[in-house]
Amino acid sequence: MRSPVQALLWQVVARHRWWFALGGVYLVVAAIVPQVLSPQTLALRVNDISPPAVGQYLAAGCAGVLLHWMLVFVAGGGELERSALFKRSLVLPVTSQRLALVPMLAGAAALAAGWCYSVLAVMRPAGLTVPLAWPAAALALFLAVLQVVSWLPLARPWLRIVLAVPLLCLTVAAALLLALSGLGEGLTAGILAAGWLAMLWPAERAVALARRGDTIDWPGWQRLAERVARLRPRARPFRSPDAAQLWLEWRAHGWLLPVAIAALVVMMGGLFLLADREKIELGWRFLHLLLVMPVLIASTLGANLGKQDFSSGYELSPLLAARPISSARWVAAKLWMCAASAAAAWLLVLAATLLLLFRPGFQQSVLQAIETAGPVRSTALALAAVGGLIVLTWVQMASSLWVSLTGRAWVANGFAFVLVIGILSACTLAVAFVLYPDAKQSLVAALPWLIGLLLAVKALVAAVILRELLARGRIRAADALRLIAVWLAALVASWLIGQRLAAELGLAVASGQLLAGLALVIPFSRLAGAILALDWNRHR
Amino acid sequence: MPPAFREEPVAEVRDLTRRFGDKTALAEVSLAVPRGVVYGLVGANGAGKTTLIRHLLGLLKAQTGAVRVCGRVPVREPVEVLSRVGYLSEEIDLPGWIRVDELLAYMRAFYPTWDDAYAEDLRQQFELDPSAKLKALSKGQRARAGLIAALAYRPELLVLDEPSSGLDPIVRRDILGAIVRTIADEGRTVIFSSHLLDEVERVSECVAMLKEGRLVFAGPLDDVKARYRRLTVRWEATERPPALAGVLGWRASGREWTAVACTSTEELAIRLSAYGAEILEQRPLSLDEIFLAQSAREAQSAEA
Amino acid sequence: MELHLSSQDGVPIYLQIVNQVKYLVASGRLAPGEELPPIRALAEQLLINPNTVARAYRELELAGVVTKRRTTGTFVSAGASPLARRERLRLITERIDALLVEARQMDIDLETLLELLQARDEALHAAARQEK
Repeated sequence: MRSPVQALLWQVVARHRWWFALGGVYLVVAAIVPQVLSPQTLALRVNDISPPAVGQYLAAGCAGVLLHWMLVFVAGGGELERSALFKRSLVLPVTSQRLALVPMLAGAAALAAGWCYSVLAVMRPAGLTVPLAWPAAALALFLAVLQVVSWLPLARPWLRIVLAVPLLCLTVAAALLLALSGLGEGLTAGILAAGWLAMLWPAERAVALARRGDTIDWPGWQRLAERVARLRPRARPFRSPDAAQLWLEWRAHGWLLPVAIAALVVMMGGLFLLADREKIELGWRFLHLLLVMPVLIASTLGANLGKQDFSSGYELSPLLAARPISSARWVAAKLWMCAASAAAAWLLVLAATLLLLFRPGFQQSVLQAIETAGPVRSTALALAAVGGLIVLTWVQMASSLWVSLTGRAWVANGFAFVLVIGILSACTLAVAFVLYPDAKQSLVAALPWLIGLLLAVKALVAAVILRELLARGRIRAADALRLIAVWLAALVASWLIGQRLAAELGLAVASGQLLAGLALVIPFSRLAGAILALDWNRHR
Repeated sequence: MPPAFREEPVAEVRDLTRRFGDKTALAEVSLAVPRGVVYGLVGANGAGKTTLIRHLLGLLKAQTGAVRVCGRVPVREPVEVLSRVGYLSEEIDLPGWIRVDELLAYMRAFYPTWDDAYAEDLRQQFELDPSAKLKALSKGQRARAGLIAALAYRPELLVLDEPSSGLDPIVRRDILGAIVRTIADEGRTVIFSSHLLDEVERVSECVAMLKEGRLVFAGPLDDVKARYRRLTVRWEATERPPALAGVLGWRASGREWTAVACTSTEELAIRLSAYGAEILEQRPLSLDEIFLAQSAREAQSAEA
Repeated sequence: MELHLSSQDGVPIYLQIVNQVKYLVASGRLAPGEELPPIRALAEQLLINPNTVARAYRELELAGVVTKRRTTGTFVSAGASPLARRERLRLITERIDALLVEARQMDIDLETLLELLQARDEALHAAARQEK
């Protein structure tokens, strides 16, 4: 490292080099793709108003890469309770100005360059007409605001979210307004760039504050919090070790999903209330979003649930490792926690849905829909849908427990890496099948063999896991049989319901195919494997 | 009363070896902790004390060798072993958001032998506010909270892994007091690893020293202290005195040389007189000095 | 009962307790018939192993300095005076040894030392008489 600037940059970037590599590879591939495909495939659209399909897909990938870069250049690594800036960097012998300037400048440059590359090399050749200058400046400004809010040393971690959300929304709104106001691209970009320059001073102030060790706090708040804490009743004794462990899991992880849902509902609800009251289908869009949110958030949270705490590392602390509770019971407590979490989140969603009914015109629309479909049928469908989504939320959380329960960071990071590559490949394959129908035909023909193979692999893995658990004495034979019985019951129940639903909705699905598909999807090894993963973690 | 050697030891380790990659953390360590004693474990940083303790708790599997605690293998039967063991580690890893009374209620659910009155007594003695969150407490107070959680159910075996590291003298006194009170109850045992050798010397009846994964000595403290002496020898010649087995390092002061010896003095006197040296004085050593002599790089021979 | 333990010179702790109790009895600070603290209490006070305290008490009992009554505790022996005198003589002998060594180092012979002793003793008596 030849200069402090180099060292600071290295500190920000070095941790994420594998992800940078992946992003870089994607960008290169995404630039090659439009050159390789024929113009007809590039012009394929889903319907007349939406942009070309291939272009959309490539653009989404580029957006993901840029989002990752944005998060990296926030230069996080500190604590949530003080500044998010790397704690060590606060004591380096560089001026606060330089400490703030390096990530800001590097981030703005990286984002602007990344955007320009994405537009010129990927999006425009793929047929998407996107502006160049002002989004680059807008991205830089967004990052700058995010950096300032992250680096402010706030004593209350939740305050950061309370500050960040309105400020970021304001930034986005300002950028959009400027762009749509007809000032011309150059002028818009210039104004946004001026806004970025204006962010330099607050960033330097924030870093200086963090270095001095000051925190922005109100002393009254601490006293209020203490008084509130005292009001809480004294802890009552627990009935059993399982109840105690469930309580700990809830306090450590269970509240995350409901709180995230609540925050999102409030935010989206606010935007929704401001929107046009006349458009009914906005109401339906919001409803769809509400119903989908828990599942999406659950799948992102799932990776953290096996840790001791949201903010701790993957290693088990000696406190928990020395608890006289068996791994099987511990995993059971975690699964119950996931269920309680999902239930709480869905209660919030249903409450929000009820509030939605108060919107004028929405009530009539709903009643109309019920009438056309028939009251019995629609209630049954609604119940099945909501029930299925609740179960899906739980499944998302529960089936990724094993990753963090192994207690090894390389497993968790490797899994995330593989997952991202898997999703990218699946999307690529899907697009390829849309473009090349012949390949799709051969895949459809081979599908039964493929599913059979996957089922065999799944059964093998399950057998290996059960045998290992029995050999180590972690579960008894009766427990193993019980697990298999529960899984079979779930399979049969979902098969029957699925058949009924398919009949109602008029879908032509062979019952054999449905059974095989469900057997593949319903998790067994991931849940039983969670016990093995925890065992592997506790006895290294 | 001498330790009851006729009973089965409360913790036993036989030929335990553990490697982390290239590094050997424990090399064929064998020791037995009798019931009803305070067993001190000393060694430099990285000597293997924490590794050994983790094997006793079942947190590490024995790569070669056997581990038995309370007559059971910790990895095979973690619940039975852990419900009889109290553990306090040097990192105070309790979650910050938990309150003192919540922590005690949580711990209580796992141990049927939990004594509410005793826990309350300790809490008042340590002056812990029950509705205070752990992250608002100082490091010493957090250590005390962890100590109550480990003591209140009167475990058969109390394992303390460098509990006093980084704590002020008052908390250290509390921890020593807890050890003394534990051992005063019949049939309970304490395994205690520490750098503060004067503390180990005060409360331990047996002591074991690990050096780079090997056991240097293990046994009753009196035996260990009886074996080690500091000799002052008159040696006229200019070069160093001869390197003899059982003598750890010579140091000069004028015409006299001193060394720490771990074999019988009469035998050494005979051997030294063959070289023309004479033993002027011998005096006993504190555990601190024994440890330093054994750890010194010029230690010429280390006998278990 | 104030005991001071030191881990520096390598003397076993039980031996330090034994010596100090003997000294206290000899100098009269522990009266005959006075009760010593129970084993557990002394162990907690000094932060040492109760077995060490028990061992020290056993040694003291063997030496006749204390007597252990089964239910009530450990008491200083009534007939402690001959031991006290022996103990006192031993302590004085130690002081005399130290004095002799120092005198030799400072090159002061025995006759001068004895003359000095007598002179200082007279001065001490004179001062005591003046106070009265």
